[in-house]
Amino acid sequence: MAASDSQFHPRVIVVGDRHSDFAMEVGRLAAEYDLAMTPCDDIYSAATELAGHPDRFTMVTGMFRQLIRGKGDFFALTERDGVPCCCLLDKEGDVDRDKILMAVRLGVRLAGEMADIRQFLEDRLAAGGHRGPEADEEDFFREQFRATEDELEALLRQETDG
Amino acid sequence: MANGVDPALPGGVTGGTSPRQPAILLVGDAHRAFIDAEGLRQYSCEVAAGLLDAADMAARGDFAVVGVVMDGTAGHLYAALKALRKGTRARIVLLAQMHEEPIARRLVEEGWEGGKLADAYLVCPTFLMRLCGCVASGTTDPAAPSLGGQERVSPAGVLAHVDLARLEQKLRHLEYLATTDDLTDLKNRRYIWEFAKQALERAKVSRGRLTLLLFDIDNFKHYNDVYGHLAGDEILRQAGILMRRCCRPRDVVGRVGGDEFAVVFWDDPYRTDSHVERDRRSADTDHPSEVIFVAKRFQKEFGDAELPLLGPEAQGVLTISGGLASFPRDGSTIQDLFKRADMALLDAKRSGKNRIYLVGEPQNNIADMQ
Repeated sequence: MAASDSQFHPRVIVVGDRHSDFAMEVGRLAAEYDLAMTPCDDIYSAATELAGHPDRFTMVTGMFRQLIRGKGDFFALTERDGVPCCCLLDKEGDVDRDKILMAVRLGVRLAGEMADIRQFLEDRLAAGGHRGPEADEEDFFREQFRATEDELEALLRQETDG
Repeated sequence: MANGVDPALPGGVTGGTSPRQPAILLVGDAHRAFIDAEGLRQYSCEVAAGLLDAADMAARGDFAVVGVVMDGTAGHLYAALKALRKGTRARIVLLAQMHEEPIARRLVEEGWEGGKLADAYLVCPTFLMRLCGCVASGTTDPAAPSLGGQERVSPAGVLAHVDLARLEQKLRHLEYLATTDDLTDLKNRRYIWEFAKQALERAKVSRGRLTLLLFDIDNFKHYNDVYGHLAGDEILRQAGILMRRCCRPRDVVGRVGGDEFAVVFWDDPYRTDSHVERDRRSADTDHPSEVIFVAKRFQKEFGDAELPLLGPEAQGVLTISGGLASFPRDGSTIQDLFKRADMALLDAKRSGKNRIYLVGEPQNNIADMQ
């Protein structure tokens, strides 16, 4: 493909260690779905990438603990720019419930395993790059988001407190 | 997120609504950085509340300079600067508090992991004009955006640019004269005292450590009297050179008296790696092991130093005596630390010289420590 075309080619930004198992796995998925992959060491590099190519269809993925750095401002940024974002929760680490709720409210899709990342890519590609339904705080507790909440609770291994 | 109005400024600084292209991107609290922060209204300026916003805004805008207020960016500064460097052609100027100067200098002079992350730094609080002076004195790329964002610069504008650059150079020279010991090129007593005070305040907030080493050269008067004052000066210069070589880049070495030196060892608040965290946890019980290592190494290197101005009988026999005091274990004010380190130094002298004593240790000569 010509270089001039490549900047319009759909891509996925992977935030975090580019040699990690997660990044490798996303790389395989990207190849499978004919997506370009842009590794970024951290959210600051990712923010620069996004700002540098505002018109390109871009999706963002990474480990939750990487993307939540800096009080979750990165999620606010992807929400503002309508960039689909999906992050994988670390099952071994401590999970801050408030931070996860904040991410969900900012339209971030949470993944418990790589299959969820695959589904995210498929959904967003099928939607033609649109971010999908926004999940603000009010929406979060509506019926159609109940499954998301249930999934979240399952991931957190906590009982719903009401 | 990016601010249209900066809450840190009375009345706010509008961003993104000006018909002119903004030329200054300021990251952080302007009032921490500038004595005349209100003057920002006179400039074409946008303000980013945090480093993430800055990375985003810098990549979108065409700024002449990005001023980063370092305070409060602990742990994220290096990553954010890397992203800023990649995303903008603007000059990056670090706005450092005095205790952050060693880090700022290192980022400007040496960089981090292979690249210079900033173009200049200013010690704050300072004046806005100096930020502009940094742009004027460093602009070599004719395509680089200028302050005000004008595509064409008038002759008057060029002259103003030149004046700013000269002013900035003069101010830097004055700063150098005011803070540096001219014989050894180390920091002077005034600087060491003020730096240690600020670094200590920072250490209290960040639960970091700070260690003060005071030392002097044993029998210095004898060398002066026997070999002359030129030889004495050379000993002082060599002591400064060797200590700087033994220290970590962020540690600050100064000459605080005739043959008396001080070194401030402190935790880098911008590093969050596990090594530092591990050391911090042991701060309440022990002196920092790396400081003791540095002091021992300096003792050895100074003892091995060969100075041509000294006769052959005086080669390889130079020794020092010192005292070492640490926050939080030995005191909570800079006066406490200086006083206790000085007392330890005197104890070392009385005990026969050529030793560095720790405050309050039963086996308090560092030579006896593993």
